[in-house]
Amino acid sequence: MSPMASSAARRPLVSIENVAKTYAVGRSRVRAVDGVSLEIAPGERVGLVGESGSGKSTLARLTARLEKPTAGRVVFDGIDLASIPERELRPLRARFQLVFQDPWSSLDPRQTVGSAVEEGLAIHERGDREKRRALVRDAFVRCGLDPALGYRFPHELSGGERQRVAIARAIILEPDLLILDEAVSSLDVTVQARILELLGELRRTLRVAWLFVSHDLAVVSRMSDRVAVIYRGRIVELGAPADLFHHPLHPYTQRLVDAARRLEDPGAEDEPPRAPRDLPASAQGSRPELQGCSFAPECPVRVSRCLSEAPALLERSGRVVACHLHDSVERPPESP
Amino acid sequence: MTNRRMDAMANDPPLLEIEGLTIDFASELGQVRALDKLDLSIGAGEIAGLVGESGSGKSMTALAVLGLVPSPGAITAGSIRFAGRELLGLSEREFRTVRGREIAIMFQEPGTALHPLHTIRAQIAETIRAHEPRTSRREAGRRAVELLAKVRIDAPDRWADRFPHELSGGMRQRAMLAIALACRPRLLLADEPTTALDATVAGEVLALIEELRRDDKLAVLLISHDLSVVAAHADRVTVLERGRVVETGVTSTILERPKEAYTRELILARPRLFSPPTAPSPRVERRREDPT
Amino acid sequence: MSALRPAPSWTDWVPGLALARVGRRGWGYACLVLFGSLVALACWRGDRVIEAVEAITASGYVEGRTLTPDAALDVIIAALVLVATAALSFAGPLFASRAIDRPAETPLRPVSRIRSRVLANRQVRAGGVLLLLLYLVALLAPLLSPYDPILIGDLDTARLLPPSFEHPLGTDRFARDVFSRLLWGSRVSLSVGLLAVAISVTLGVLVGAFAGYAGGFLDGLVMRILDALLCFPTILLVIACVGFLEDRSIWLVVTVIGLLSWMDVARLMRGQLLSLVQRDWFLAARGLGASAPRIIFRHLLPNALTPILVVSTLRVGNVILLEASLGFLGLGITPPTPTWGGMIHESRGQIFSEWWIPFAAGLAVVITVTAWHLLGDGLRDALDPRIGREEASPQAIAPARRATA
Repeated sequence: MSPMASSAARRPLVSIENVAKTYAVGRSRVRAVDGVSLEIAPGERVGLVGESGSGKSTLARLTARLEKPTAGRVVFDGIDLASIPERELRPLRARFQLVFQDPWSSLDPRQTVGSAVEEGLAIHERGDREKRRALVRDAFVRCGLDPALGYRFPHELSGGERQRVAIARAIILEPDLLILDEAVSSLDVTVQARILELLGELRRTLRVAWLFVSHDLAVVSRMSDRVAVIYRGRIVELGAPADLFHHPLHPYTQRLVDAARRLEDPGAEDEPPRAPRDLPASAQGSRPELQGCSFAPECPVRVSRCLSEAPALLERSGRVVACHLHDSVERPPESP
Repeated sequence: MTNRRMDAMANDPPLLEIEGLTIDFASELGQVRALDKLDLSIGAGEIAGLVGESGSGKSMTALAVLGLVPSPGAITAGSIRFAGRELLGLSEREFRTVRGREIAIMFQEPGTALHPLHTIRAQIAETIRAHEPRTSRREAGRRAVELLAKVRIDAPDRWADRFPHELSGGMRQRAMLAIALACRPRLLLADEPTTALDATVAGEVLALIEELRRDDKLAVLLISHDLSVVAAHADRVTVLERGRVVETGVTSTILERPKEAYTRELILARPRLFSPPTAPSPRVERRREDPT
Repeated sequence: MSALRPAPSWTDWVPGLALARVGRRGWGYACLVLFGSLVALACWRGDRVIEAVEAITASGYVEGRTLTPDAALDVIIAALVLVATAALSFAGPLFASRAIDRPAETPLRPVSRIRSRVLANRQVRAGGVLLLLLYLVALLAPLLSPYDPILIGDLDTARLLPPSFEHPLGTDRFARDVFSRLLWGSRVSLSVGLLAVAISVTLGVLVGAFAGYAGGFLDGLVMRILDALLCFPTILLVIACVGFLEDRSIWLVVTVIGLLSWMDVARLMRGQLLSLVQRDWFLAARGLGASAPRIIFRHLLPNALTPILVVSTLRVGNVILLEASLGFLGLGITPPTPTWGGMIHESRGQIFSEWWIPFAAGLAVVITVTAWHLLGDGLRDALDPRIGREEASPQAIAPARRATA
């Protein structure tokens, strides 16, 4: 089995196979996602963590088939999403749903929230008017919302309530997979905590798998069984969160962990934080012109090999990592 | 250091004193109290934290200090004293000498707070020349680059002539900090400075603020919805819920022995990777006691 | 609530007074005046209506009949409009006062908030009332106009008469009553305005929506065609299409103008769509599996319509001007159908002698176009900036101010 495979022996729910996505930006081309492979087993919680511009949102959109990959395939339950015609894709969409980051813009401002949640049912022609109303009410209650709010418009609700509506809209179709793209990043911490609780509860009752994308390590760690770290369109490390974050193998993961720790407890560090090189906003995507590892220019522990040879993903100590540091010999994980 | 700063260090009265501040809004549903009798004080070189959810009145507090409360809101009670001088009731012209020069503000969304069609240099220079009109354009531009260097943007002369959309989120936030620091203010109001940022860059910005507090004796009002961020850097914390002060006190006390359930909820709200939330570690405390 | 207002009484049954009782005096008295005028008109012109009914129902030749069946139909329709308007001005205030009496039960929903803001805007009210009056006059023209606008009068004695009691604006070169022609001309201008804009906006919205939604190559193609068409000033295009034809009916003019002025709207619509497809809710709709027509009609169009609405109202004014310009050039609707532009064209030899003829026609155009522009401007103010603010998050309001304020 490939290193990116999940632990389950049966067929994975989602199989992202060597997916790449290139955008044309002005005259240049940006490869936002560059050869990512990942599997999600049914009911598994997979986290995806990275900074802005790392390509995680692009990967989320590709998984939700909102865009087609430039290379590679996204296979859902054995079906290649990019190869089937629109007609067949539509009913399949009910099985994977996306929840967006911004609760202010993810709902149509001219649609009542009740009809927004009902829309999925209407599109997929599930049940008659009565039944749909009942399902909507049920979804509202499950997401901790008063059903009477169904007649309100999005801007009459708070951010947390809107996000609950977005989740209700996603779960009403009882999907097998939820793709949460920074779903809690725009919320206050208290609201965030409640939404995370809600998601946990929903998972218990719906047995849904999810891809949880975020830049926040602590949140991702709590909400995932496995976490992938993405840097510039490539996965650099993958493993169980507790293990991954407390004993990171890849230097980039180490950097993320250091930053998170510094935010939680700044006095503990002796040295002042080291500024990463300032990059323009357009610095996204892999750098195909570099022959070696894309992290090498900023890596504190790089060697000459890193500049000339791109590291492959290797299995080490129950994890997967792409770094020459762990290539030649199986070293014990460094304690942070 | 200017004379006024040395004076401020010599005496030790608080730089900013807010007493009983109350802000009401007239809405279709009647009077809404956005802020209810807030007391807050910050001394030079101190960081005070203001924590609460959206709608708790924390951003409104910062706007009130600058006299920018948007209508239909109005300050209906209380006083705001800056360096002994009462700010409420100042005319617009008098306020303008305070805003940007003595008290500066850093907003949450650097994407929208920066003018998209002006270069960074132009925006910093504008602030400088607004308050020190005799500065030549070249001089202002030079100081702009210096400020960018101060906020740890490397190759500042190159970035100064770029537009905000060409900068990453963390850089934009630092550019906004540079604008805020342009006229060497004594008080910085930082409204959710790290909320829109990744952890790596958020750490940068907060470390910068710490440095400024240490080196320039900058007083800072740190506003956030995330208690852990505030608690890690603030000396004192005030917790707001829907406009009312729920709890206030020294950070370590609040974290170790929160009195109110709401405070407890705020503390525990954030999932943590490492240690449970505690007071800032001993090293920070030691720094505070040092008379530098 | 109702304790503060006088209780309903018999005066409510007098048209308009009901509104006056609940505090809307201006509107109340206006309705009363309107109702009164309509009743007066009905009495004055009752005979004409009877004549028209006879002309329609009777068959065979009747001595002294002056109305053709078409004209008679016009009169009957006008009479129906009169009755309907009178009924509205009677019942409207009644119902409105009842609604005001009842206290508001639920907090205002956003749609009604928008509506009340629109109605409160001064320009909207001014423009709206003016337009209502203009269109009422146009619809009631068969009853209001004292003479037949087309029938040539006594060429020996009645040409170019100055304004008098019998002819409020005198007569023109062909001894026709100018005032009547003015009234009937309003029907042409006002209907051309509405219809041509309806056609061009519909066309523009469809093309623009298609281009904006399709994106990519198709979008580029449509835009280039648009650019080519926009190179020509609309009036030249219209002249080119219409100018060489002998027989120019109102439908021809409407269609030509409609088909040649949709480009602006298309571009606006496309721009709207391009920004809307960036929104997350659009992606969410696609993610749910919504089909393209569903997304366009249920989601994109309602959100894009606000600026389209504003532009449409402004356009009607421009189209009226365009039609009048055509008429002035002699290329408008073929005479003898009265149009304002045509009247100016016909009386261009009399500008210095019987100046009131072109002046009246020109003034009519100005008033109508101003009314439409007032409405459009008012709508734009009432709808746009505030809507943006209502939809933004609360935090977004504060940071709009910069530190150096």
